[in-house]
Amino acid sequence: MSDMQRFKRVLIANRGEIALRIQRACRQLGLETVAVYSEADADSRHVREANVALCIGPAAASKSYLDMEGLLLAAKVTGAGAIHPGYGFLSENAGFADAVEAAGLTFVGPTGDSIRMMGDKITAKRAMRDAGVPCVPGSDGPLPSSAAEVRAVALEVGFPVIVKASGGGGGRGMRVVHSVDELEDAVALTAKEAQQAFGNPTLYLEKYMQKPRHVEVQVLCDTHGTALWLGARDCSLQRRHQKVLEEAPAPGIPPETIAEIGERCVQACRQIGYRGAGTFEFLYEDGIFAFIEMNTRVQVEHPITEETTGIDIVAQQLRVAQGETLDVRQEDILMQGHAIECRLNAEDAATFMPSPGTVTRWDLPGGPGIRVDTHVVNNYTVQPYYDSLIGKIISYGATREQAIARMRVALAEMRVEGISTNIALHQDLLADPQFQEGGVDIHYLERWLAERAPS
Amino acid sequence: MSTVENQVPVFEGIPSSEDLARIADLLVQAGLETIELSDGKGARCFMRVTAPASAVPDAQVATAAVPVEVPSSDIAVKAPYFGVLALTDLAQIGTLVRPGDVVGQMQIGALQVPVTVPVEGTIVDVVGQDGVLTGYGAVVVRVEPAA
Repeated sequence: MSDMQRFKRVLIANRGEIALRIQRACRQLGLETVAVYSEADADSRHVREANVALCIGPAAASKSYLDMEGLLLAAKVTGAGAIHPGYGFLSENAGFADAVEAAGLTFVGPTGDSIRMMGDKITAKRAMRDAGVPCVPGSDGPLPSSAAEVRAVALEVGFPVIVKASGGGGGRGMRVVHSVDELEDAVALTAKEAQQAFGNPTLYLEKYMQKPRHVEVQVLCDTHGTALWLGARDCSLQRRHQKVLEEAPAPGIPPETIAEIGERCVQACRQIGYRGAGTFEFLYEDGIFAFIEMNTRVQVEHPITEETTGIDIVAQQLRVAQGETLDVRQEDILMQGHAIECRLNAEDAATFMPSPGTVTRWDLPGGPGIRVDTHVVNNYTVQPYYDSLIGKIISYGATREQAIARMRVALAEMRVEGISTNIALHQDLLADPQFQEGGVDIHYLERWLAERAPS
Repeated sequence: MSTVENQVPVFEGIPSSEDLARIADLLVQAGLETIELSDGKGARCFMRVTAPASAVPDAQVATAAVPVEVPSSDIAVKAPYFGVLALTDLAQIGTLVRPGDVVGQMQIGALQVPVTVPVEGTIVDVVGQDGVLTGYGAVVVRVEPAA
């Protein structure tokens, strides 16, 4: 990097595998790192390997990883010039992004304004529609107050429709309405719930897609007008809105279709002045893409895009934050091969209850096309305070079949003792004929689990 | 199940102790052992009711376990915040201290957070180092309580 660096030391405001991932990128770019951690994470690998490590609070995230003031003070006392928020915690908190910049530090991510705009579903959807990103047909804004007008909107969109809270998200504050008779009651009830849960009764309405896939487009933008799309990921295998297994590219969708959507996404990025890494999430059904939301941060599943494009997304986030120009052109990005990610969780295979405890054996897989991103080492204790993600196995192959075959061997090689994991679940999923065919919808995993469950 | 679902409070972060007790009661009434709450954005809360039906339900929350303190004769006085530790004159082996005595300050710029002694006793060890960046919970001094 040039001598004109904005920062030389990065505070990593996160934990677990993503903290280690960010630290690796920093070190490869010659940047120093500050690991801030809670008392529960004192023995973490990234803490041991950081240039500066500082315990900032107790195990409770509200007093450590979510403590904005504490994080800013930690940056001050350790001389960090930038803060990388990772994913989760404060990564999509517009107020935090603003506070970091107001303190004269660099936030490794978009501006607070971008985060704010994408955090509100109605403004996000409007911005995307204006930029030509395809959206689900719907009310194009808040629902009118008169029942007759709402009915007219719903009839134009066509039943079934889904009524959603503007301030909601992730499966909460929404109701599917199958006929015009149910509409008025459903709207009144959802508005009441939205007021109670989010303090905001504003609703909107969309066409309800019945068996969609979750397809998302990764983007990367600098502050000099370059905006790139890095292909699509299929994240349809979900349980309780949590992704379990992801793959890139999305099986069965023509590359030209993805290219067209990708171009619209980067066009939207240019229009809103987006910077850094981001993800446009879509529902996809019968050849139609419908924008759901934009994630204004790096995602758990970013490695599969790194494998298929050869671009180090986290390193590029840091370079963009330094003010550098992206030195890749869209036409140079070749989406090649196929990558799959299995999220490893410390959880009971049958009940999905978290399984914290000390890992007494931790044998990792290897060989061509296998990557493991994990903070876990032998004798590491999985803490009960945070989410149960203990690592990710990423397989890469020239074809989807090869990526699946490599992943199946990798999962068979992996040995974990002392805690329960979902490795067996991944093995069963990879052996499932429908998965092997490709293109299952977002409800597939829940149905599949329900059929397997002992009655 | 649906009756329980309708009564369980909306899940927004870790529930209050009142809500936890309410959910535990609902589980026992419904004859259920476990419940998983999620907000769809990654936050999840698991509860398991472990008590027999006749006893008071004992809810265990995965996110709220408390580490057990190991008993020892002297008391560790820990940093209540992080910062650069500035020890005071009291922070010396053999000093008699009373509750509220300040043995150090955690400094970040102009911010100062005092390190106070919780008991009457004698300082038997000074673990913290003056002028060194010190984390939350680090032991500053050890105090042998007065008999």
